[in-house]
Amino acid sequence: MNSPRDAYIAEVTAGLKGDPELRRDVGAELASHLDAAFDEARAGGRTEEESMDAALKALGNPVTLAGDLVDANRGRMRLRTVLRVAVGALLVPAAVVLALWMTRAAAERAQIIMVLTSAFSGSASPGFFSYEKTEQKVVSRWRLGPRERIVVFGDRTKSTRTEQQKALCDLDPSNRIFRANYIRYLLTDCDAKRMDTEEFLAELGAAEELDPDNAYYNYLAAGVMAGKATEWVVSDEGTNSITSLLIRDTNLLDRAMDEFQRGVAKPFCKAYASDLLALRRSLLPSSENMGDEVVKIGLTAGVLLPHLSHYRNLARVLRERMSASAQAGHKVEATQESLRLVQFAEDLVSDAWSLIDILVAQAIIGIAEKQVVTILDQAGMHEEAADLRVRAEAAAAPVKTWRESVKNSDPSVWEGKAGVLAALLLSSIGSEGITDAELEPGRRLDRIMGEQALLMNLILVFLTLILVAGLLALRWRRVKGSESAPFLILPGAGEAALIVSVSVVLPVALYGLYSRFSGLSGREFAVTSNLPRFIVELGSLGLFILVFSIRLSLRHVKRRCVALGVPVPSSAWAWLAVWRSDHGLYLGTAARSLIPTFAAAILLLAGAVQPWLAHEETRWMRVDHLLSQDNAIGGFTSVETRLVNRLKSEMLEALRRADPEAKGSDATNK
Amino acid sequence: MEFDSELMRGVVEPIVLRLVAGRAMYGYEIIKVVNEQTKGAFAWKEGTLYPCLHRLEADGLVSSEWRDAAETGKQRKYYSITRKGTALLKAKTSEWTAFAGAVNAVLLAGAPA
Repeated sequence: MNSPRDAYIAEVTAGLKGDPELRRDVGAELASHLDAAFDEARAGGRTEEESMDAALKALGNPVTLAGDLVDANRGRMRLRTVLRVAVGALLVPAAVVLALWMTRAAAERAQIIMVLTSAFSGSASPGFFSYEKTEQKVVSRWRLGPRERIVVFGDRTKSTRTEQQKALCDLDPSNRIFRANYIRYLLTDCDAKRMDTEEFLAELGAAEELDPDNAYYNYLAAGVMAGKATEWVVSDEGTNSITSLLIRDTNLLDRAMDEFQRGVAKPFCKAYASDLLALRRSLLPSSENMGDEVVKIGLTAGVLLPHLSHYRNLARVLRERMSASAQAGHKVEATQESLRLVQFAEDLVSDAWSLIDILVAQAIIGIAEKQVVTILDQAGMHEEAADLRVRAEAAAAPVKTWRESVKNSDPSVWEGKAGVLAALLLSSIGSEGITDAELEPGRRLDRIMGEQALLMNLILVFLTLILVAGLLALRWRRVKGSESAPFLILPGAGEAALIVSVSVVLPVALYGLYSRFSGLSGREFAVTSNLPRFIVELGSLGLFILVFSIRLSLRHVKRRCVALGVPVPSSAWAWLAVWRSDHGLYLGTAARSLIPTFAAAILLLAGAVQPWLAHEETRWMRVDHLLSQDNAIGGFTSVETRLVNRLKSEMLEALRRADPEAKGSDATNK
Repeated sequence: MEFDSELMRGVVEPIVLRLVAGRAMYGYEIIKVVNEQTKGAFAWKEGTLYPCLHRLEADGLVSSEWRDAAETGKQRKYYSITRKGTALLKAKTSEWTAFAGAVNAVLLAGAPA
């Protein structure tokens, strides 16, 4: 049963029931006053009942006092109501929505990183579903015009990829780059038997008319016809497997060889693959994040190279033809065929833009170096064999040397300094000429990715805490009923600023200074070279933010609850028995009052810290000259392009050093 | 002596500000000190003090803080003056001095001839 004191306080503060915290505050203040007056009266010798009656009477008429208190606190109640509504209707929902949105963005980012990692490690991609979604988002942000879209992606409204690329060709039928690209898609259709061979050859003929000096179409025609006209048959002879060429259509094979000879006689061979890539890249804005890079890598990877397998097969067929010529004693013909093979390789090297091109050319040179030389020797054409051996060995040497250097390279040159993606790339192509300036962006980006992962995890934790706190508050509201339901304690501006500053702003700022400006953070080394340390750094930061945001907020709530007369547990272990605690009002109030802190933390982290990290990501991507597609100089990456250009130059020099005309052959000099 | 409520109304706030300017005080203490310093001349209705304190706090003239009372260990709400309150107190004190001086000059002068 309520005492007269409690009944008086309840009546006097009834007008403040719209603000439970304020009501309790005023009630506690009046209770404190009554207690002091009571104690004084008791000390003066009065009975308890007399003392309390006197104290209550001295305070005055409860109705009058209630009205005065409402009048005096009207403005404050209004402001506090606005704040509570702002927290409940704006702050918390905004934080939840932002957190969920960022969760989705983080999941996409994780997929992007997997796609990037698989691209650079050469392993299987996790699947293109994520690439396509990423592409849609990125492309909509790029705001390409209709023509630019078709140039970059083809006409995506068409049903097949070939038709999509045909639309590009139709944009400018006289454009050799577009035509060559379209031809490559037709080649894949032809290989998949979606297109008749003669129909494809007719298209090649039309393309050749547009670009008459380009041997590319002749080589393609020769490769396709040779492939159709022959079959490789594997037979077992004892313990060995013998592969031999079976000619199914002599006429078609003869056509293939004629076509090949026409190609060899032409001034150049160009597939225009790197030209197409350069054109597409020139239409795109600079990358701002990993998503942009993935789409651009997809574009690079999307430049088809189906002709390379035909080239290799063609070289093997030529070898067999040459062998037949040599064995039949047609020495001149055999010599000419061997020289054409070398010319073919030279054409491929001239047009090389990726390591794959170089390796295919190397394979063809290898056929010349080992197998053709042997054939010539066996046919008694020793001089010709020796000449070919010298030329082919010289042409093959650069790639062999490079392969040796990769095998024997000291990974410590870049291992402790290269980012994860750079390390994957350098481990396969070597690290010659790599500088620390080139390695720095990659390892900085690794750090940023780790920091973004921490950020995301923190946000998820805070989001979970909001949910748990909300459930707790709801639970205790149901238990206690509306009269003594948990209420929201909002800190004053100063206290709120202190909580947010100490628990979020300060640690993030200190971490920023430590990681970006001090020499202590180990940013000169790759994250992977000291992963435990990096994890500890991030973990400490995350833990600090979490613990201090909770601690400081709880400290304030506890202080207020003590002042407001809400029973507060003496031990923190009470939280372990939240569902059965005697301190339900405190626990519910604390849970409810922590929610704004969690929401503010989410908004700060997502609204300020993440944009800062995103800005850093963009900054480092723009200066990344190792992996960035924007700085890739016409190849897959700049480091690969640098290697390809060097190998290309050395191979061409070797191929052209020996002058075949001095030996009496009729091979054309290009 | 009971004073006209109109007279009292205008001085309650400056008096409260003056008291809490000296040191942080709680409501009951303010009542007692006023009573003592005015030698019982101002026996305020205790209930009117709290709406006054709340108004002063809402206007930013005083700030409040719950503290443990040393002698009882219970919590009490102490009020302190703010910078804004100090400025207002100074203005009100000057105003009162001038006002009282002017009134005294008339009321306490000799009877008119």
